[in-house]
Amino acid sequence: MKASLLSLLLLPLCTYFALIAFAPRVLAWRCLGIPLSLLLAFGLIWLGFLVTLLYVRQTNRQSEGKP
Amino acid sequence: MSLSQLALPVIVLATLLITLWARRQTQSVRQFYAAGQRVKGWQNGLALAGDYLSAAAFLGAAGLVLSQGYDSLIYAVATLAGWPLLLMLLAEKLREQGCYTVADVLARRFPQTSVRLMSACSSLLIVLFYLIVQMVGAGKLLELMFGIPFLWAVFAVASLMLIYVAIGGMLATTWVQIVKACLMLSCGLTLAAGVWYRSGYSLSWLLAQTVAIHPSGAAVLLPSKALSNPWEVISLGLGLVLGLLGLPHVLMRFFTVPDARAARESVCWATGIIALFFSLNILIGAGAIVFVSKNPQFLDAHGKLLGGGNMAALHLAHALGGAGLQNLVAAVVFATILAVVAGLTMAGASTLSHDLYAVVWRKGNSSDRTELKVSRLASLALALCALGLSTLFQQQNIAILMGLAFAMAASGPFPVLILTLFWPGLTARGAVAGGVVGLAASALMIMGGPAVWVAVLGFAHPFFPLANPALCSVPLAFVSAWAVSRYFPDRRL
Repeated sequence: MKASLLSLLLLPLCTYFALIAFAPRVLAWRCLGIPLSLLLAFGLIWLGFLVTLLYVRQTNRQSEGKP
Repeated sequence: MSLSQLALPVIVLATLLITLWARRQTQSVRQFYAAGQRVKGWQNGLALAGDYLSAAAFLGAAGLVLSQGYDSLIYAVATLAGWPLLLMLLAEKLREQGCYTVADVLARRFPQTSVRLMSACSSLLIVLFYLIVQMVGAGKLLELMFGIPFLWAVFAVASLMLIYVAIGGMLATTWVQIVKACLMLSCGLTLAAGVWYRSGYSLSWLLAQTVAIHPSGAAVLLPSKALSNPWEVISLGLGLVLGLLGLPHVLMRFFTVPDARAARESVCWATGIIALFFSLNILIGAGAIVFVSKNPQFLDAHGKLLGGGNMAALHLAHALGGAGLQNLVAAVVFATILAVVAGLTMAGASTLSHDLYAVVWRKGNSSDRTELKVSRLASLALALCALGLSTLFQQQNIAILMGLAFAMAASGPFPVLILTLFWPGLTARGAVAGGVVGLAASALMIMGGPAVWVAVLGFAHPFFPLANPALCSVPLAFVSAWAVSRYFPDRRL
């Protein structure tokens, strides 16, 4: 569980930094009229919270003995 | 005096009352260092968010959006990503293995004095650099906001932080952080709601205006030229993500909760609050560009923002809600500064009194009463030190010290903690080598990099090419710890 959540967090994060470092022009693309740069940053900020929430929920369930 | 001007004395009075209440609950070292380990998960979460969201996160982020646009979002993404990592790699283990300081966690595996000394020194250095940044920032901000001379401003901040820590210990510090986090979040929500309302609830209008008004045009929504070197971007991201995992004042918060479950829940609360705050900062930053940057009311004769970029959020408050809202925001900023310096002083005082005095010097033979007295003296020493150093550094570029604190945290304590918790092959010598090499390498690389060697010292070329050293210093710390553990094993005890 920990490994999959870490992948869920780190893969998009590494891709984001790779885009900034090596292909920043891609970030200017628009999606629904909003620049990809803003969508990615906003999405990644909340992805961090989502991963945290999922991990806490799963670990608490495990510690209570629930499947 | 208007009602809004009363906000500042009310906040200070409330925090002093909290300190008096906490004093009655603080009789033992366990209560002083770890608030009796009875802080609930949500309370610790708010306190963690309070510890992490300094005035720089509030005023600095709005100023950064104004000057460099999208870059502030890159910082936000990287710093937030550190929280889930902190949760999955360290939070529970710190709670299970720790006592009062990070050095206690290392000492469970390596009781050698050298390891504790290395950990204590690295914690103190990081806390001190961070404290100087906060104090200089506080002095300058209070000078701008309330017209108080720099020296008096830092004296007021140092005196209040000393009262919180020396009298109320970790319990007072925790509750001051909680109050501050709630106030800061309310402030952020109010400003963001104001911007949203003034934009006619239209994101596309706000974005179009931001692009039209900002001097960079459409490039304001893209990484700036400061991040044109790919290795610089990767190094910056690595430093920001891993720096959080080595900050002593953040790590020691996990010793205040009763169990691993509360430690996990506190990170969840902290991450949610910080993510919300960073999201609000996008609106606040855009609002500062649209409603402040071209408003003659907030510009000097040269067309520059009055008081500089850090005042953007305060000017925005004035633009949205007049002097009343500006006074309220200024009071919250003051509370923010106080809470962060109190958290840092608490971490520094614990290191001095517990690690260096009680364990290294007295070999664990000091009474609770004496250790408490030394903790309070340590808080006083730190307050004096912060006062002196902030006066000394007031004309310097403090952003360098902030970078240094983060780079040191990522390169020193973080590799040693991770290897101690997860690698059975690490030896005491390896731990010391990893910590020392990480700290020294990050400091040398920053000093020899473009931010100091070229910009401050005036040399033509840096001898280290990156302004953020994490890409090299973090692996160097890991490799040193591995190599020394492998080739110079500890002598049998």
